[in-house]
Formats: sequence, C-alpha cells, structure tokens
Amino acid sequence: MGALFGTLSYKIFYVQGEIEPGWQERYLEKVKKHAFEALTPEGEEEAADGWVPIDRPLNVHFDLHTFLFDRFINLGFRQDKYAIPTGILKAHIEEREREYLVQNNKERLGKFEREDIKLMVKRRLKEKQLPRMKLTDMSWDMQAKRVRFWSQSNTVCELFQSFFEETFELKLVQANPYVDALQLNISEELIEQLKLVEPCVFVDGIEQ
Amino acid sequence: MDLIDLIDSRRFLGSEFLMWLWFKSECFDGLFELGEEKKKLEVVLDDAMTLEAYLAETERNTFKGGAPAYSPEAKVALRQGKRLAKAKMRIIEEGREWVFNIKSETLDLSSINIPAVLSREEDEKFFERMFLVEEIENIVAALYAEFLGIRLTSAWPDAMLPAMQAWIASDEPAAPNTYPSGATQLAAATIALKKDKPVAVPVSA
Repeated sequence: MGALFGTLSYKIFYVQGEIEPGWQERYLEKVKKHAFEALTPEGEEEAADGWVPIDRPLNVHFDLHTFLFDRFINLGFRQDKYAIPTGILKAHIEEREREYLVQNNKERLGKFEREDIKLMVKRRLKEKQLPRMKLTDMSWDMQAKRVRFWSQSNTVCELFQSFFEETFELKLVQANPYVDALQLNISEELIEQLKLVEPCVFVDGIEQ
Repeated sequence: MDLIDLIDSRRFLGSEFLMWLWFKSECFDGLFELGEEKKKLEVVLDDAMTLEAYLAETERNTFKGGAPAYSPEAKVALRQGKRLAKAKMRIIEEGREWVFNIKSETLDLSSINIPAVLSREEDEKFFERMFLVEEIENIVAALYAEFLGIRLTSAWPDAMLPAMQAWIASDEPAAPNTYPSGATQLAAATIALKKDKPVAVPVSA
C-alpha cells in the first residue's frame, strides 16, 4: 500500500536501459506471465510472488488500463506464504506418526512413510488456514526512469528488484548517496573526485 | 573499484550531507535560498534525530521531542565524534509543508507527510500525491547538489570544514556570519540539477 493512499515510505530505484518501441503489448504480456498465482493446500509451494493490479490484489486479469496510469506503470507486488508455526506442525506430525504406527502395527517408520505423513499433515493444516498476504505497491515513472517501491526492507527490496528485472528485462539500481550524486548534472571531474573523496574529520583527535 | 564498492565506500557522504544541512539550517535559522532561482524555503531539523559513531554503529544517541538540534546533549554527541544517522526534517516552501524522516546511509525518505491532497477522484489523487512527492525529492536533490558542489571542491577543506569544526567545538549557536560566504555560489557554479534526461549509472568505474 502507499501509492494511492496511506504511508509514504518507499525505496527509490533508478531504471537502467531504454524502453523499446512497442513496449505496451510486450509489457502487458510480461505482466500477465508474471501475474500472481494463488497458493493451494494441495500444491507443494509454500510461498508465491507475483504482480496484481495496484488497487485489486485479488484480481489477476490484466489489460493496459489496469496498470498504465499516464507515464506511470503501477502494480502491486503480492507475496503470499503459508506460515504454519513449527511447534504446531511438529506436534501434529508426531501425533499422526503415533496413530499410523498403531494402525499398522509397526514399531518404526520408514523414511518414505515419514515423508508422506509430513506432507499429508502439512496439507491438512494448510486446508485449515489461509496464506499470509503481503502487498507492496510499485510505481514506475517511465519518463523519469525511476521506480518507487513501498518498502524499505532489504529482503523485500531485493526480491522485488530481481522480480522487476525478470519481468521487464531492465536493470534497477537502488538509490544511495553515490548513485544519487551521479543522477545530478555532475562533471567528469567531479565524478572522479567523488570516487576519491574520503570521510572528513569533524573533531580533531577522533577518528571518524 | 566496481559499482558495489563505490556505493558502499561513499555512504559517508549521506551523514556529511545531513551534518551540513544541520549546520546551514542553524546558521540561517532554517532559511535557505535554493538553486539559481534562489527559491526560498525553510529547512528545519524537527523533533527527532539519531547520532551514531561512524565506525561503531552501536554507539548511538537518539533524541526525541523538543528541538534536539539545539540541545547541548546533541552537541556533546557531535564532540564525541558521532554523526547524524537519521533525522526528522520539516521543509516549508510557499506555505506548503513536508515532514519526513531521512536516513544518512541511503538518503531514503520515509513517513513523508505531504501537503494536503485536494483531488477527490482516485486517479487524480495518485497524480497529486506523486507530484507532491516529486517536489520534495527534487528539493532534497537540489540541497544534495549544493552540498556536493562544496564537498567535492576546495571550498570544503578550505572553508566549510573548518567552520563546521568550530561550530561543533563551540557552545554558541551558529550565526549567519559563521557560514562561509561564497560557498553556495561556488556550489551553484560547480554543479547544477539535471532537469531533463535521467543519467545512466555506470556499472563499473
């Protein structure tokens, strides 16, 4: 959340590379290809990432109007994850293993039996709960070649960066004091100086 | 040095930028003239700031409430060699006010309070929010450009750094005449804000 309403806390990324002509159709296809696919209790995946319309996280049907706002491409980056507490999972597995041993008149479980029981218990527990959903807005100003992503968590930003790069086949560079300086109209001489400059000492005798 | 090394090794510029903003704001009671157009604005360090030792991030002082930038405790932290790591800032331009947090390491802005959005329609609201966000980003970029124009030239070791060192050492608040005259003009002549074309970041130096 954040692009349309709510808190304005985001990370800026600079987009490297040029947008090729005919991008509209191509980006629509790429967004569809990378659209969010919901997790199911039967599936083996426990986490899923993908694009959703910025204001409709449960809808994954895209056309250009869904994400193109004048010079901006706006999308939601949805991350779902089944989060079964380890303790609960362990307790259920142990209980089911005991039942299985009694039912089958066995003293020990084989490797494959153990794995099957674990999978079955996980599926049953997943059927009883919904995955946790995390939704983070992304707004790409194509004219300014700048992306705002409404999270400052390093882990989420790294995941987003590679997902964006994979979708749009363009590189992103996170904003920081060095890259921000390069974004200014700075001469070659100052760029060289920027590479050489060392931290200064504000208080004599204290190494800073 | 590749891009990653340059990014990591130049992070100190963020804290030096915030320290310079603090010093300049104190010298001129927050009144700035920005860029060639001498756009008037007010830049104030608000009611929260964190100072950290540069090489030992666990040594940290956090100040909340009142006006910590003017407190003797903050001055003591500066004299111990700590630098500004995070600050809440207030910028006022033509009666419009933005309040936000800024982190020195990344120069990320967070919890930005923008001037009131007037649009009612959702699409219009988005464009207005983005316009107001771009405005504050451009103001911060212009301030950073002014800083770099000083920091990357002889104006820094010759005039600005000694003035800031004297300010840190002194118990007196900084006065307008303690700000090195001519530094802003030099900065304006050295560096100008890019207005049209975004710049590609070289992947290696």
